[in-house]
Amino acid sequence: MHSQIEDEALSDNNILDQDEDVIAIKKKFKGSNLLFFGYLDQISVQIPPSDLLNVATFLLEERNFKQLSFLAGVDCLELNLEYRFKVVYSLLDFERAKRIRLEVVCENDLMPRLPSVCSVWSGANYHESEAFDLVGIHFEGHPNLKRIFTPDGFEGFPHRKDFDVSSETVEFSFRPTLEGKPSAKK
Amino acid sequence: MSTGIEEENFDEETLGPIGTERMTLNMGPQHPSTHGVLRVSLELEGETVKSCNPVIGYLHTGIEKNMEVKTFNKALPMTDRMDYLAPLSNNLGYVLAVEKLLGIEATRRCSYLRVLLVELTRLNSHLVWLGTHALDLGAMTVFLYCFREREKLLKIFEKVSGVRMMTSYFRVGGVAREPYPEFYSDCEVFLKDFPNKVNDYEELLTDNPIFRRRTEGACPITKENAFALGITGPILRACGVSYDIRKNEPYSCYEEFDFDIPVRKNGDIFDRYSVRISEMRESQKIATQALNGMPEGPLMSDAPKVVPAPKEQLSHDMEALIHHFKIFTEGYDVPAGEVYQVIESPRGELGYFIVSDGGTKPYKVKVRAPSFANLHSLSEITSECLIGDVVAAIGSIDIVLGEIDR
Repeated sequence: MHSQIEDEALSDNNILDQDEDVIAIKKKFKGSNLLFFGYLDQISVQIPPSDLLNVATFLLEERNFKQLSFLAGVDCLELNLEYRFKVVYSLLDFERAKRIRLEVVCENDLMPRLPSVCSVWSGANYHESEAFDLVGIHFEGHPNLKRIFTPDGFEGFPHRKDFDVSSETVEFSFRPTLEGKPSAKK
Repeated sequence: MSTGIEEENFDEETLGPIGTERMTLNMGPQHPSTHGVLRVSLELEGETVKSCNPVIGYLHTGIEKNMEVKTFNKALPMTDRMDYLAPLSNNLGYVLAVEKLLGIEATRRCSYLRVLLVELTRLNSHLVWLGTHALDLGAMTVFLYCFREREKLLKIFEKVSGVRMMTSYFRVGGVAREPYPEFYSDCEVFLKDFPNKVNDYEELLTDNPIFRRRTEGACPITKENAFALGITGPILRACGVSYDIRKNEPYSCYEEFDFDIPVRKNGDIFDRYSVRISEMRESQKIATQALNGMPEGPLMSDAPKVVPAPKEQLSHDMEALIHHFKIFTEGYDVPAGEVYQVIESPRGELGYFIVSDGGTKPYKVKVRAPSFANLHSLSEITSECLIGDVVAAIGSIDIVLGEIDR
């Protein structure tokens, strides 16, 4: 996504330069490879998975982002990016009525894994289960990671772009009739 | 009277002390007080709840996935089906998110009309909540009174949009059509009478000692827990946080209205009830202000590639005809980008996270449903409470399963 809006985001540096949270994060995580985007008055920060817990704890404890509004797994298969999965976290500070988004790119496309943020915001529990169920992202350290929406024995992850929606396997069971089992010839 | 049991069997040795055993009890998914298809798996010791685990997913219909294969306009009716008690709030969240991506703004008159309808929807939703919540606690009369008022609202919605519940009335850049001529007077009649009705409900419940004993001090939640669990809306305001998106992050001209945010301190079931009752009075105030201050001017935004031209124009304007054809066949391109738009739905923070790849269909839609996060509080607030309170607790969270499972 950002490869397409990058030009616009770079030209929209005003929000980023003046934002106190962006300045604080830049100062605290100098050595890390962070990318900042400002788009439609919204700020998002792309961070590597290894920094996720540190940045999350920093934002909660020192920048007062007390609530995780949601997190969502995004399958970027059709977006011409060098990675496939990313997870978007949206945070809210009640006192300043301020929102910020974190984006974490999963390193492994075949087996996307990220550390769980349940220890930082306990409300992440359901949202991570949802992302696991629908997009297939594993959250390490989650207390009870299980499929919450799809039925038992469901295969595949429906919100992935390569999930086959054209057909659905239906299990038939034939009841034997007086003439025996129905066959194709009849 | 002979019991048929010999006397000597009743000595202490054979009977022993009454043992306590942990019991698992499944409540739902077909249970009238779970407000939909929610299953709650309870661990009980006697009548005390030791753990409470909501099991969801019985109503998962893949709405978000479904929206990815529809154009931006055609995806709109899907949003009604999520929170079916507040369809217009869902419409508004989605429409605002797409408008933000497109860079168009609704006209002032359109915003006022949206505010009026959304506040009526809030009344509608709170009436269903109040009726069913009171019914769960054994007060049948309130239920009938609430549904009597709700019927009047549904009639207004039906007249204005054509459908009672799944309205789909808002459109990107405006609304579906001009409201019918008597719409404003119908709203006025309803709104004028409504505060008296709220007084009636309060007389039946707030002053009722049985209701108060069931709800006061029951199943409380603290401010810190509410923050951590992602709880928003009336439940958060009942534990002392004055945060309302209408006030703190205004959208759709809400900054022009004069209203208060009801806040309570204890965070128990009674406070949640009390916050919602006060919210109904505030909503009535906002709706009345929107009605009286309804500005003049155009209803639809000036965006010919997104908003279809009125029918009269098509017969003599070639360009309008072309746009009309394109809007309804292939849709309109939405600039690439990501947007997260929040609104205050009757249940809390309703957010639409939309990723667009520049095409005519949303690349990814994620709905931040308030009930989904609020349900998370159930296991927290029902620990160590009595089993009878679980029903009251579920009612006080005000869940809609269509929105949780999506």
